[in-house]
Amino acid sequence: MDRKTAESLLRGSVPGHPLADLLSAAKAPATDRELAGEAAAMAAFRVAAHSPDTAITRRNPMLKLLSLKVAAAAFATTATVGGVALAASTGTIPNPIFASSSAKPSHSKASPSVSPHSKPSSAHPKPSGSASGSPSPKRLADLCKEFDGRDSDGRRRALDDDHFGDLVRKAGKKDRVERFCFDFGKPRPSGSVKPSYSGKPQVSFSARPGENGGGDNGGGEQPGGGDWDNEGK
Amino acid sequence: MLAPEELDAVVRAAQTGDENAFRQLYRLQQPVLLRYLRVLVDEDAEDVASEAWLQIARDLHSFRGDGDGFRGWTATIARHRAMDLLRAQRRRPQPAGPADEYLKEIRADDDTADRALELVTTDAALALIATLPQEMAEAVMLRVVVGLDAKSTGKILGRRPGAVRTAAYRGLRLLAQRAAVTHFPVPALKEMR
Repeated sequence: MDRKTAESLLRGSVPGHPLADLLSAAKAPATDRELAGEAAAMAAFRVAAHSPDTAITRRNPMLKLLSLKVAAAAFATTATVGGVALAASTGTIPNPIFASSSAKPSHSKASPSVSPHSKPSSAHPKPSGSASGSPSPKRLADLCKEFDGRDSDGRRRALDDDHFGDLVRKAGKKDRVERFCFDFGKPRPSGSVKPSYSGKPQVSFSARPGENGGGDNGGGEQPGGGDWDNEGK
Repeated sequence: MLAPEELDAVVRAAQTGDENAFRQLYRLQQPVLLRYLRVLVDEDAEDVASEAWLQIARDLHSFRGDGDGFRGWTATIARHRAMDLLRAQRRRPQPAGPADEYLKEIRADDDTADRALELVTTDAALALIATLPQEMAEAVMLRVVVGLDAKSTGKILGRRPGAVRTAAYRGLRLLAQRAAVTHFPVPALKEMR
């Protein structure tokens, strides 16, 4: 096979070549099965479209600066020295979190914004008796929802967490949980699928820096936003 | 298949929150990403694709580029999520096993003859491509199925366009040899059209 033929095959235009059939099979029209995740993807899109985060273009350097400043201010107000001065200097930032607290910095008000990673599990106390007996589908759905919402590290940790014990038992094995939730989620109504972004803390400005800094996104695609020139590593 | 300018417009519309546009993007790009992922992570492809779509939906508003850029961007995201999974499982991309066995399984699973035929051919092709060394398999998939040029493919794989071309050519050559010795259902393919 010469380079020219190879290049034409890659571009998809060598009728009659022994490989032409194989390659066109590889790019045959989609089957329904391949599009089974459409409802989930659409739900994610709706969540993203309506989230306050998305309305703010992270690309805007002023906003980035602003969010850093807010995060710094939040940190400073929880620290013992210099908190008042810094918080006062940010008093003009039109941010809902600080609208009330900037004039009179208060530790209790500022602190939630520096811990965006508060465990969601604490919000859902375990129903008593869930360890024995069979967990309800609702409970499993909730656990799956929570599980799916975590990043890959979070999911690994979840497998060792008692909180997800029901889920692991129901799935049979730890490494089957992901698949179990995926299958479990299929017939779910579109509104409740893959909640990870709805589960984000509401405090969007201050949650950002922490999230990006501690994220485990191994790849470079996130901080750069969408400019995929920066993405291929 | 959309013309390039049409795709540009659909991407822009989706970025402004147009649901139908996003649906169109999904239908266009999901099969492509899924097939690419099948070659990388085999049976985990559907899960990884779902994860990739969550991220695509979330980050689309900050994506900058045209329709071609969108193809490359989504493929990059899919690849990164696949690599996350492989890292987590401490494994390397694995060939999907002998294409013959794969075929038998699928035939046994499916009851509708037409559907089986359709699935077998695409699946068989992917299974055969997955038997190639990873760099060749990825180069072939990104160029043929995802539809990227050598430059964009190189960007995703972190290699020069020349190296990508060579990998893709070698991949095709090896595929041709393997297709000849595997019982690849070429007659079935012809009937399909």
